[in-house]
Amino acid sequence: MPFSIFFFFFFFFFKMKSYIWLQTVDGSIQQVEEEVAMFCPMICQEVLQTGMGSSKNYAISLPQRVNPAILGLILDYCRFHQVPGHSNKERKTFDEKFIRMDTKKLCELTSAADSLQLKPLVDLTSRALARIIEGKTPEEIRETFHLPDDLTEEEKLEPLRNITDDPRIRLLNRLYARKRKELKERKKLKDVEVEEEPKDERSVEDLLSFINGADGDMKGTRTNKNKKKNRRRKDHAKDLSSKNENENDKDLNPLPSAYHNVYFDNALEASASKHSRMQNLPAISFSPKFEFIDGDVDDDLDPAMKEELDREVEDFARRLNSDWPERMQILSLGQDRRLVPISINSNGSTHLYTALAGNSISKVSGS
Amino acid sequence: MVGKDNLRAEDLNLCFKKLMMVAGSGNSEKGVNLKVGVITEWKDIPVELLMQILSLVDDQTVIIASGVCRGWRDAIYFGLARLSLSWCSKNMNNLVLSLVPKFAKLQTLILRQDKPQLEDNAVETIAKCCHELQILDLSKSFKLTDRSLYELALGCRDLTKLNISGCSAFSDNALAYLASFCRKLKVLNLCGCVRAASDTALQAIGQYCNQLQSLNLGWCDNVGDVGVTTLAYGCPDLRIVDLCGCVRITDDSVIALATRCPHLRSLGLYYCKNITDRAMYSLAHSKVNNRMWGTVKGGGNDEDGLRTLNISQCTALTPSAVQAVCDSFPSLHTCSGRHSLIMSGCLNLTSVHCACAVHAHRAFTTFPYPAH
Repeated sequence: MPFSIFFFFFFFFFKMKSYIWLQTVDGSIQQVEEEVAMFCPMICQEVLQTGMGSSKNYAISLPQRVNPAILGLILDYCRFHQVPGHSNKERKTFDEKFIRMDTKKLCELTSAADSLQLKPLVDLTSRALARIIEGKTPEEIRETFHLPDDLTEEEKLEPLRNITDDPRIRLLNRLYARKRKELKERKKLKDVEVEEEPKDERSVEDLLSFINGADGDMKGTRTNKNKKKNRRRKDHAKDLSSKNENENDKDLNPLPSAYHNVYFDNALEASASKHSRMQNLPAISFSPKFEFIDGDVDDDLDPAMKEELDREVEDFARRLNSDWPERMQILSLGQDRRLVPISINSNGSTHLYTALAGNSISKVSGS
Repeated sequence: MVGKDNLRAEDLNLCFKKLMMVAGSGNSEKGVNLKVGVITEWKDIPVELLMQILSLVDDQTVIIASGVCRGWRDAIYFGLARLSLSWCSKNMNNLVLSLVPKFAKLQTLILRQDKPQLEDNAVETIAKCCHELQILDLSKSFKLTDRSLYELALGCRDLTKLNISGCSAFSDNALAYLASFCRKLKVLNLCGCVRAASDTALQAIGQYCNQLQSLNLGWCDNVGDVGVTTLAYGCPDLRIVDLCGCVRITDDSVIALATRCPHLRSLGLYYCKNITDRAMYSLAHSKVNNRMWGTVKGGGNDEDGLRTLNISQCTALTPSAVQAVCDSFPSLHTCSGRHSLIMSGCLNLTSVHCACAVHAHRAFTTFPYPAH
């Protein structure tokens, strides 16, 4: 008799305890206690609206982000939290232990909980992920989350340039300064070539006396040299004053000098003559306003350190400019303005196509 | 930081697909892959979820996170709705110039400074790039000039909250111009804007900003009755008005606010020496009028009416007038812990007590020796 009563109660208990059938993305079907499953708003909604989940044939299809392993974790969470008897301290302790898992699993759990609209679990896991992210450098975040390293050096440094004292930023600014210096020198050389060679209009007697080196003449030449020095100083002062006047021109150029190459400079010069405001050039991340001045940035360094820094800059430059046209394209993608790579014609002239998205392409050529 | 409700899912998905295509081309093994709508990289975190996670970290970390990878950068640039740069002690101007143009959907921007850093070119950038901006805090920006207000007026017409407290260089003409364009303003803080807050500016605000609910005019000693009266007539929805240190205002201003602004909850009259009993009786009487109006409309809420009143240093007031106000508004308390009727410096008002203090006093006197 007692056995039959026990059997009756056992049968009655299991008969009365209702279950819900859930199907994960891989096709596996799981039977879950109704009160546990109904803790997830998405499942609850599905049961109430469509009546699904009552049998194996009518299992509720879970979102793609919920795999069997993660579903197990979510159900563990629901089992604990749907019981009304637990104190706040117990819940807190459970939650702390529950989120002790590797980052990969935590990310998957956050995503799955979000797709099941399980807000308390989303909040819990989001807070855990936020704690992981906080205080880390971009490199550490990339490492932790196994994210692609697909930003250029400039793009990586730009968010940091005004908020941290990153030594690489100094390096980059130094590189830019050097590039601009090179460009200036190149331009000067061009100008020198264009200028006619000065004719020597001195008489033969003057030249002979200079070669013979008479005392008076020597003095004369010395004073001449001094005059030249003074003239040079004056010219330098003039250059400095003209530099300030030309600052506007420098600001017009929206491209950091790290991107410049010969073809590009030609194209820019040509486009500058066409469009005074350079409206059709893409906006690049580093604006010239914040760059260092053209002069040597590290004149105060001792030679050994300077040499080391130069080596670093060279290495940095190599990495930076190894594939600049592709980078230019990457940079301009996703923005309204798009830069199409420069094509070099057989005759040696360059064509730079720049256009606003959807507008007609304007062609700028420079030989 | 990033309100989830501010993000439109379809916009984000579109943006995400776009960046997938970008990442996919060139270096697909590095990029973020899409397999039948499932994100297989990024540890399966969708954009909305990433933004929710980043809403829990500080703003500096958000900026650092934008330099992690292209996916995160685009998600942050496209999805960030709230940004505060108040932590930035040195390069705030440069930071605004370089970062703000990238945040297309910015709705809240906090640029409170301890030492003045912001310049007009930064505000110009904000006005040109952040057309969806609703909340802007520029407090203590001493370097800003009228040019900033003109730019904001043209660029950020959806502003609902603007804090320019301590921006002493702004003129009333510029503020009037801003008011004529930013007609959705609900909260305006002009504390310490001595030049900007004049009767002319307040008349413009009263004329154009009819949705205004909160106005701080602390220590704006050019403000007079004309401005406040126009404001009361033009902005019937006013709930909080701070006139602390507005020494020129008289009873007329308070009467106008009492009669024209039925939702008034907080009124600051600190150091307004010209305020007399007439203003207090007007406030007390306004409660009766509002209650009658409430029953007609079918509202009639006990919580309506003044909850905070600061009459410190208003030495012309008498206890009977202030007691009348206190009796009319049960939410005004003189008792410790719930101090909402502030009367410091008024030595003649020590006899004024709120209802609960009176009840407590009565209870104590009725049963001086309770049974043990």
